[in-house]
Amino acid sequence: MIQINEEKIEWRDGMTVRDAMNEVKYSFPLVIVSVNGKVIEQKHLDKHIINDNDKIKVFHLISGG
Amino acid sequence: MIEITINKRKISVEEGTTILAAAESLGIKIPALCNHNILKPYGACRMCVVEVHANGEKEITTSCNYEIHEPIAVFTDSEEALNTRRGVIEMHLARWPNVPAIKALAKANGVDKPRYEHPLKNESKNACVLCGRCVRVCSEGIWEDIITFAGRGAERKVSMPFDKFYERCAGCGACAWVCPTGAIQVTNEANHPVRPKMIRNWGMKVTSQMITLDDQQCRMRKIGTGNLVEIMDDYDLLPTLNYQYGSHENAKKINSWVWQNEYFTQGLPDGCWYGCSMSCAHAIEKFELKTGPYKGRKVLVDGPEYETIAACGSNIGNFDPHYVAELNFYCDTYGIDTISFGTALAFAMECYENGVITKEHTGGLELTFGNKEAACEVLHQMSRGEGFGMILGKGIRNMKKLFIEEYGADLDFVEDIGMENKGLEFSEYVTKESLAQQGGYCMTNKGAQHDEAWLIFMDQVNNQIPTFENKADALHYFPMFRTWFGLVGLCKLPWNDISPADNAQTDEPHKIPEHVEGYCKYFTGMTGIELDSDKLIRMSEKVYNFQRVFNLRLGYGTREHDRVPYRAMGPVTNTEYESRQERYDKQLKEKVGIDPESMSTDEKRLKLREYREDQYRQLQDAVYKRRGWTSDGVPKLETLKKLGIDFPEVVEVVKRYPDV
Repeated sequence: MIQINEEKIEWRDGMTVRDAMNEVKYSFPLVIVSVNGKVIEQKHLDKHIINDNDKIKVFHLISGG
Repeated sequence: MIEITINKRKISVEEGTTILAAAESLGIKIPALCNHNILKPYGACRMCVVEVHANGEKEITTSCNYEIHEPIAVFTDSEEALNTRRGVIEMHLARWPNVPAIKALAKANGVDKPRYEHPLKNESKNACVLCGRCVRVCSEGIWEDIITFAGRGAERKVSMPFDKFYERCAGCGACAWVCPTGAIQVTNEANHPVRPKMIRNWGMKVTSQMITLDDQQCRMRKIGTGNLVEIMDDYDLLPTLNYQYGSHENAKKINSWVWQNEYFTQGLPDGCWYGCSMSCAHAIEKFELKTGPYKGRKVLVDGPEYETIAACGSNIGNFDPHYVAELNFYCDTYGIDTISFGTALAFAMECYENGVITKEHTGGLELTFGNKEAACEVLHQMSRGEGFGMILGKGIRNMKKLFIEEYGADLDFVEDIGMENKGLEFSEYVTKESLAQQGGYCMTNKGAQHDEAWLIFMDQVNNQIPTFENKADALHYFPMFRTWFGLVGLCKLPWNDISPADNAQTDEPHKIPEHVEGYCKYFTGMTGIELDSDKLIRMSEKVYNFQRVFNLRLGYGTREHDRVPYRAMGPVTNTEYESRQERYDKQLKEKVGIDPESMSTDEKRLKLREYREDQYRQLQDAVYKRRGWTSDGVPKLETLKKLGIDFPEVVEVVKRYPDV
């Protein structure tokens, strides 16, 4: 199990940060993402592999026209 | 990743990285003149030459545009590289001996003075060195080609067409900003700002971010606010069928890619604000109309924006992009707001589907969700002041009154689903799961709109403002901050629709501090008056409180006028409840503390309503307190005094209310 913001989702081998974000439909581009408190750069979201029990925080900036 | 060496130091780089960028990440500086971090590599000045060993071969090549695709060994200061570089610098120095940037490069690379006299010698210290940065920023960055290279060989120079001033130039100053020598300078400051450089530097900072980051962020230059359609759908926030739901399986038919790939024809900066590098407005050319007075004519449609797509699309159950654009065109042509039209029509459609109004009231129109032809007909009627269009044109507040008083509609149902506050129709976000945003829409001065505060992500997704006090703080700061844009007449999109690359490292990234500071600089640069973020909020607070008093004087502006239609708070019907049952049941269990297992949907829906309405009441208490208002939402005398707006006429208005 991993946690992404308030939600808990199943972990699978080789899962990237982006995979986890896709699972909870976090498609907004202006986000600040950290894994276990460490900020992950935007360009690494597609490649950064997460481990079981990791805590991902996806901080969304303000949107709205 | 590819492993390479630079001056024998190992580094792993992504395929396609340039040698210059790889060297920079190791702290190795390679001299370069035509290169600029917001522009594509160009390879014009040849100063960045290095020695590259690949596959047993050796070459001297420019590093700014050499992309790494295989393991290589780079030597930035080998004798051969240095000799070549010195030769290039010497040529520059011979031709432009007094340009500081060239002199500095010469000094740093051991070139004393040229050994020969250059036939095209130009002794100006601001001479143009033909690096092409200005030409490229105009084309790549601003999407114009106002200046370009003209002439060949010795005649080559930067020029506007036919050597004449080209009136398309908005004077954005990007060319001057990237020029390394000062050959292009801004000399005519048309609006007479007090500190023009301060404004230009900030403006170019935003422009640089637009050029380098927009494609990965909000795609404002390609699609504009329409980028939000699929995002809002993903987060269950896209208003669908009069805000009953936040997503729809057909939303993909009107999402941003449909507009970008099939409709928008102008990949140009638009005329909304001349010279703006965000250029978020987009247009459809040769759009053939299917209805109305211009039926069959091919027209240009300015838009649609996100709000229009949601209002004239998903919210009325219309997932045909053609009809979204058709409604967009006719609203613009008739001078009707697309948001108010769509939201009002969504309300009327839900009333029709529930038998509140019938064909008898609509003049025979089948006003079901998704009936796009009927939607167009209502709009045409509205423009002519006829039929049901005349009724819809009066807005939701008047429709509710009419339906209740004349058509015998159920008061509670109509009040619950009529999405307006203070007579203004809601804009296009589902607020059910964000208490703060309900306040953002309704504890407002001008009615239900998101212009004052958009707090859904902060509240619902980040859980960043969990307490009433936190939410009240946000409902103080953001409405004040965003009111300021109206005060000074500036667009707010460059504040939060583009974000600096290092925003994540700031203390309050949600406020985008660098951009707030930028707006302060813009104000100071224009007026000469120093401004910081606290003073900025104070400026708005005065106006905001004035507006509240103005509302009071007109008989509005108290707690009752900040009422939220329940549809914006939670599920009005059982069908709505059941569509998100898992979410609501969980909340009943975890937040209300009751077990929903044995309860009927009716019971659960009412319990949830009780809870949510109470939450809103508590939020009102906290927000009014934070804003310095009474519990009825009236500005207190001490607040007016603190803000220096306790004028007799103002005091007279508020004194009529208790506890001021």
